[in-house]
Amino acid sequence: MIGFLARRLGLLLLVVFGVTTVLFVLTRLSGDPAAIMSPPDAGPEVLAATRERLGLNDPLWLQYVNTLVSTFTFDFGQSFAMDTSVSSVLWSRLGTSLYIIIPALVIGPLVSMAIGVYAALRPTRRSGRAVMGAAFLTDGVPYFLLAFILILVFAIQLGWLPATGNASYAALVIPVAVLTLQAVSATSRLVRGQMLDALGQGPVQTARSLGLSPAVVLFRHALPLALPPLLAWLGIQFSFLFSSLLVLEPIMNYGGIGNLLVRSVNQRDFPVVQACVVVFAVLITTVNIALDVAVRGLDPRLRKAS
Amino acid sequence: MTATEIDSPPAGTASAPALRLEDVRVELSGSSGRVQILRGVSFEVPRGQIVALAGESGSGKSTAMLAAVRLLPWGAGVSGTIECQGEDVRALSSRQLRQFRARTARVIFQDPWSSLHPMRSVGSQLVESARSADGSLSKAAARELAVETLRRVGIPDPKARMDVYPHQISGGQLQRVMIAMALVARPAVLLCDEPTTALDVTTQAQILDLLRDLNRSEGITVLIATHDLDVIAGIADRLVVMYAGRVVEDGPAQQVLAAPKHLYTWSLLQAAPAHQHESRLRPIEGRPPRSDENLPGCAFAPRCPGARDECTGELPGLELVAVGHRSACLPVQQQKEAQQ
Ligand SMILES: Nc1ncnc2c1ncn2[C@@H]1O[C@H](COP(=O)(O)OP(=O)(O)O)[C@@H](O)[C@H]1O
Ligand SMILES: [Mg+2]
Repeated sequence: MIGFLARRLGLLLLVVFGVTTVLFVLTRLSGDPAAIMSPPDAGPEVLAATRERLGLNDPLWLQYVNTLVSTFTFDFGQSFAMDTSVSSVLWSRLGTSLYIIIPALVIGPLVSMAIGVYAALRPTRRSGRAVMGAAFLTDGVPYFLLAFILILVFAIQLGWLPATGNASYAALVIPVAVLTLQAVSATSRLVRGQMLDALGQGPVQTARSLGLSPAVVLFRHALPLALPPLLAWLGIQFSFLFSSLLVLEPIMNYGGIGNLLVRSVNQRDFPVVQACVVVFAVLITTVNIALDVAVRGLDPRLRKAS
Repeated sequence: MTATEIDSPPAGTASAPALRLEDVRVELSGSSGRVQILRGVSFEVPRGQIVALAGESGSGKSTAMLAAVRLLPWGAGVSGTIECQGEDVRALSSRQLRQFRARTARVIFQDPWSSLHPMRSVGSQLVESARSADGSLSKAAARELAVETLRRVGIPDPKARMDVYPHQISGGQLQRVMIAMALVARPAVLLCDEPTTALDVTTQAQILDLLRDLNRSEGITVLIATHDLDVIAGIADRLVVMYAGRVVEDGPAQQVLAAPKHLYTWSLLQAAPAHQHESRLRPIEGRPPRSDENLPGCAFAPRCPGARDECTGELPGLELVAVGHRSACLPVQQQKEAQQ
């Protein structure tokens, strides 16, 4: 287990290292880094000052090392566009995004689990099919369209919820609903498939033959068998979620990290872009490692194989 | 005299058989619609005996066993009478059914690797099994019972084995664990579905010895499904031979093996002329009918070396051909009538 964790942490470092290196190379390839990392209308003095501040007069290897150090210490310097340090804006925007990420991450899987398990227990009955049909409805709809529809109905027509922003808890409802709904369709179908498969397996038949209650058979015997692929899927969903933030937050004028990244790219606020990308990479990798650990905790066969 | 006329005491009395199936029909949904898997199966398992349910693979042995504890797949159509330890299995409420499975009749499946839960320790599964049968058992007491039972089924160092996961032990030991899981419940009946088919020959013999010991010492009634007559020849009291979803012969084991009263059983034994030396029977020429084929006469007739014209015409019933020995073979029945 310790060796496994060490390997995964090594992987995390490798990801951060890789992301930083790619960003470093890109900035060096795409013209004068000083021009990229300065406000677009900067004059020659400003460029010279930027060059000095960024250490662009240093040898290339030293610049690279400095970039790595700043990344691994999470010290990304000053934002160009905003009069503040990158880290302060980064953490507050990330915090704002977590208000919609965390509910979506809790509600989405729980709802999918409920729908999928319900449908798996009634594979041939109308109620089971109806539930899956309902889940399927949201599947073809792109999430930004879903956002527009929800805004149109609940904010503009009914006036129940704010259309945009993040000023109140009510404003969280639509983005959370969008992020949840886009995950539920695919996830509940996966849950149903995995549960159907698990319910037909030998260990579950054995559990039934012991005279255990249906709930015990379902949750203590079938569910653990179904869970490993579902946890792996959750990791993939987590990266989907972040890419959705990049579209959803600007649409809804939600002041989170997705919005920050998109705006910083447009404004060439490079330090912020770098910081956001590194944070995305670290979060996605960390969550996937945590899920990996959970799967190992669940399945002793994997523990042995390490 | 037909099968249904055989004198059997009413259910619930002490001498009622441990398990009785009468005219049990089972329909399952296959890929090509509903197919009849059991076509009127009748047999009895007397209390305290070991009965072997024999027949080629596909003859319906597993289906009959699963029907006896209502473990057939969802949507199965079942008719007929199934009585176990005086209980009408088909009439049990779901609550009663759980009690029945927990305490009265336990099942040992063919493949121990896929029967135990791969993510849970051997000990936790034994404890769960014991407490399912006896809800008043504390966790500690159940653990103690589990360790003691593991020792009884011949698991060395049972205390240490409690914390082991199924993938860490051999198939033979796993099957012993499965048997222990059943024994902690002190069941009256043990239904073993090809319990040794997945194991090597030496382990097979050990597991069968264990089952016989449990039968002798605890009086547990044992039904063993097998496609390998040799395997159970030494331990079975009675033999029930199935073919294509029906019982074709049923009698005292030694009598059936020495003087089979059905040409199918005879062919099974003939197919392995040196069956003292070979561990498996060689298959009979041809193949059994598919479950969606409906033959008017004896299902074995197309492969039978002694088939007569009448055999393909009408279905012979299961008739008494010797004391406690029934057969559904027309030539045998006619021969017997001729002698009388
Ligand atoms: N779930 C099922 N659906 C449809 N047919 C089945 C199912 N299970 C078994 N069968 C068919 O029933 C017949 C008897 O199977 P089974 O009871 O497993 O025989 P045995 O245990 O004697 O090998 C076989 O022809 C098999 O193909
Ligand atoms: Mg079978």
